[in-house]
Amino acid sequence: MSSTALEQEVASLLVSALNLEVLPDEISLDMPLFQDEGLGLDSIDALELALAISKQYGVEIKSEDAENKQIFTNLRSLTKHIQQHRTC
Amino acid sequence: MEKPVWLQYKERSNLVALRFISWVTLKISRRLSYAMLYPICSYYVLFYWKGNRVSRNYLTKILQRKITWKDTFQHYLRFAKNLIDRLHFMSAHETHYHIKRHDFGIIDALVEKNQGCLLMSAHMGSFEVLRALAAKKSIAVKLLMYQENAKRVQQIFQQVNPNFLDDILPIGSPNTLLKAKELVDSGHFIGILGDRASLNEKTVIVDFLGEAAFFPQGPILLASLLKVPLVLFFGINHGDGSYDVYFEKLADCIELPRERVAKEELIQYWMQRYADRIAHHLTISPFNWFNFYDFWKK
Repeated sequence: MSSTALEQEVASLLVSALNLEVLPDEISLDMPLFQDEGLGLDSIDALELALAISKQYGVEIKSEDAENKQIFTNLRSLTKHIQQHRTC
Repeated sequence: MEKPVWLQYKERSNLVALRFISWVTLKISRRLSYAMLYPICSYYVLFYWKGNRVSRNYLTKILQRKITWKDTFQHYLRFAKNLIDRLHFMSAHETHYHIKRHDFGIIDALVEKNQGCLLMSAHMGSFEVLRALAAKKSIAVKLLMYQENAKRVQQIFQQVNPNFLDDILPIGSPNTLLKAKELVDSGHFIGILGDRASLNEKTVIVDFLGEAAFFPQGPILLASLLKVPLVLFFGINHGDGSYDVYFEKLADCIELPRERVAKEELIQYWMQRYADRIAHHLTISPFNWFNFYDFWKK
């Protein structure tokens, strides 16, 4: 799967898993996921997202991962992480 | 973004006094430290008007009569004694306490199955009294906690028990709840005080002591994601070294619908039940309420 197709898929996953009121196309690659000026997600959303990613792609995001903050920065970083670690 | 009401109130304490009283209670006697609280609480009754007002507002609702300065004094005194007791529980000097457990079978059954759970209390009575029980039963409990306020008290706790922070999961980082999930999956208990919403947190309106109050949605959302039983815990402090500790199972598993409105309605339903249980225990032990800010503020 090309990176753009995966990016679109992850954007859709974000919207459906978190029941967001935006369209997947409206989430740009560099939009911050957690700050107010971005999607404004909170820590419960982070858990829900991590669980959905593990279910769909088999990518387990562990609490010990030092890069977690970086992984959850935006759609670009999240997709990159999934692409590198996916098992399904 | 405006801070939640409870974060707008400054911590009212003095580090030197706190250190001294913690030394007295742990090294000399709890009775003496209790005695020292009388002038201290009198001082607060005389000069901490903001606190007096919120205490009176709450006490009027729960006692349904005219509140005098003696009631407010009792309220402060119970809070201060509770703080001293927490030091004892934290440092494992809890030998002279009488702790009566109610429905502890709920906990035994979970431990036997190595089943984790979400253990929800409120800012009332004592959560630390659980340490006294947990140590005896080797239950592993980590408390999800907002760490921004009460810095001075935490400093003292850390002095009394250097491992204090090991039992805390600081709310706010995306990692925290991942950690909580890993812990419950391996049979740990996660403690949470579900009566205060943190910054930006979604809330629901529940009836609490006859007036609308905002309760956070987080605890129910968390329970639904962790997929573990939600157990209520109330450590009622009688102010004389005796405690009644209640365990009440709220739900074996909380499942929320996807649809937004229905989801929020169900969260509201569970938080209302939680608020009703708090109200029940406060009606019996009114001075155990330790939210010294305008809890009902819109």
